[in-house]
Amino acid sequence: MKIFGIFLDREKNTENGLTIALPTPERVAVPLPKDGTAEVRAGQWVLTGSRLCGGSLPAHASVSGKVEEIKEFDTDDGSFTAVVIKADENQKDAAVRVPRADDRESFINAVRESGCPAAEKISAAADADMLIVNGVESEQYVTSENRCMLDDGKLITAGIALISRLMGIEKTVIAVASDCEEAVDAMEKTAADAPKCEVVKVRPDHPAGADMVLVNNVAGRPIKANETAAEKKVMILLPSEVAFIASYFETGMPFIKRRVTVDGDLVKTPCVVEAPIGTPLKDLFAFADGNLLPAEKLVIGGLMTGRCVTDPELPLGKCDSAALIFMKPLESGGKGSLKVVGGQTNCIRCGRCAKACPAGLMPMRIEKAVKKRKRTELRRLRPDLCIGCGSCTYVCPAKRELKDAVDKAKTILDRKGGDEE
Amino acid sequence: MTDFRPEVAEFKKFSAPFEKEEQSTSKIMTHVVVGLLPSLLLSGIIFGGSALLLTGFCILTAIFWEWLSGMILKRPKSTDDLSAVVTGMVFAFMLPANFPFWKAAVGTFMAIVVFKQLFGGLGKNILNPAAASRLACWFIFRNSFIYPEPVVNSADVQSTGTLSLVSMADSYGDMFIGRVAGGLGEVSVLALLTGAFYLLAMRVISLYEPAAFLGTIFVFSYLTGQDGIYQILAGGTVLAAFFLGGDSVTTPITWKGKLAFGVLAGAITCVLRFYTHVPQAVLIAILVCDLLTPVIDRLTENKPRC
Repeated sequence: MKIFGIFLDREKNTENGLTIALPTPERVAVPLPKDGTAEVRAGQWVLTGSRLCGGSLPAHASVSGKVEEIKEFDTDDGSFTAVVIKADENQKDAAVRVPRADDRESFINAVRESGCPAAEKISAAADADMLIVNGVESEQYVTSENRCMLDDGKLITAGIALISRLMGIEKTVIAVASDCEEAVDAMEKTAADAPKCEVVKVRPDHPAGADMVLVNNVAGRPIKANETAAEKKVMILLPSEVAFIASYFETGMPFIKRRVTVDGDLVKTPCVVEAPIGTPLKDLFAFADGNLLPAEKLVIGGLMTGRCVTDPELPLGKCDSAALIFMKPLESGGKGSLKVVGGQTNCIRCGRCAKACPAGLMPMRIEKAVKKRKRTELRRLRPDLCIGCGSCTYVCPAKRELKDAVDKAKTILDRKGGDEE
Repeated sequence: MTDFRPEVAEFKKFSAPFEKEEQSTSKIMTHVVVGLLPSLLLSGIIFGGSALLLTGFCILTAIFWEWLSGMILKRPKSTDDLSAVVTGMVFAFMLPANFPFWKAAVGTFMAIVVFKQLFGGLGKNILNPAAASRLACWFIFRNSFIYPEPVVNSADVQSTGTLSLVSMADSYGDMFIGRVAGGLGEVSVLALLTGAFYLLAMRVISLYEPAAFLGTIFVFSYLTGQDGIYQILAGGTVLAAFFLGGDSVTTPITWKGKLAFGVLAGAITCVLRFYTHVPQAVLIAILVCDLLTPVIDRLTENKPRC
């Protein structure tokens, strides 16, 4: 049975724009992975593409210049280390080695060396027989994957051929939302050239691009909420990752830049820019004529599942598909004022959240059980199966923070002990 | 335009999702009020201006009690969510046109204060406030429930001022349009169905509960040799099906639960009507099922995908 989601307002201001390459920012702060320690020192000169650290997913210099410092960033969600590089005037590429891969192992290692986040997905689904290229962007504003499908059709073809040859993929499906007609056309051309590949149009609802929903609806393999796509022998990659892998095996340049949507009601010229990893968010907004002064809300990623940050100096990460900024609402209510506090009433038990939940949970009951701290009831309601799509909070007419309650329920269940109170 | 916002970025921490649908409790309640308007219009035509006055009085007193109880119980202002308007309107629709105003005010007081606010306010009441208060009124003010003949009536029909359910003598057409004795809003099935169609189109109510309720009554009547269509058209059954059974607060959440609620309520209604002399069968059936709703909810819970 197919999983149906909810329809969001289609606010994609940037889907017709071209990808613009961001002029080299003054300085970048390349975030390092948790288990990596910097291999460079302050004062050292690095070239574009040279390695900054080891670890499970290496980081590479995204601009050439002088390493100014190794800085610790503290955010509300935890801290991370980043290498701050001051860009020089004549950007020079490092002498990179074009990787070679003949079998599964060497391919996974080569992708891992590039620092592309796809490496983890590929190694997790090493014995997959099906590849889904996830071109579904269900969330508002986010358009970078859509743009990638329009621009990099050739690279995606090459990437699919490469991955299916080396990973033993028997069938490739490119999933595109049916309302992105240009992308569907572009992908149909791509699929015609690639081996054993077809395009599937999916219903443009949310969360149509979630792993569980793709495996169930596109691959047609019934999946439970506590199973991963890899367990169902499905590998799910983004178009940008497939295109990157193809270009990496051509040029050898590691993962140092990505497409990012810059949008929001404070941005005058919303656009999709190709920015080096580690570009401070404020440089992205400055490029797109964003006014940071009346801002209240800064979101990295989509509006449904992204994360909210409070510091515009934070660098762009490897998985950040969008940077959105919104102003403080003039008055409560209205469309532009996102997530206005207030207007909250008691739950009227309308059941919209339960209908919207792709994992089949009952968020309103979870919220009630959290309020009463009933562990036994929570164990039955299984909040741990939540995939975090945010649909329940979005549809709630009583404006209750259901996803927060589900997250809280998860932490209550993680703690040990019996019923509280 | 002068903008007084400070020119300093004040980033605040929010949690995902960062946008919500433009749906709200007050919007849902507004839809229900709109769904009740056709019945109000027809009650004005059938019973004259006094029907409109009584409905308006019930709405105003309901809002007043909501405001007053909110003040005394120190609850956040709850008159904005318009649930009191709906309660007042549904309550008025189950009264005869010449019901004394002060008794109507007592009725709305019981609905809003006793059956809603004392349970904890909107969403926490177990019984449907309008239905519970109407039943209580029926026991307290037994003598005031004298149903007048409609102003508009076809001359060839001998309407005696008795309820269709008691006389068993009204024609289908009269009951469908509403030219019979009865409560303000419950007589005209045509108007109720028009409003219900609007609510279904707006996805405010679902068809599960009304269909199960009316279907059960029809099948039960058919099997026991009664006139099923007559049982559905008479006695405010349609009002109960769509507007008391469509009340999300006091009915089950899932579609399975809604079906169970409808079947159970329909069966209780028929048993009370055919085998006992208990009056107000529909109201009692709905209220009994309201009490059973937590149990039905627990039994028909969604199974997580695992």
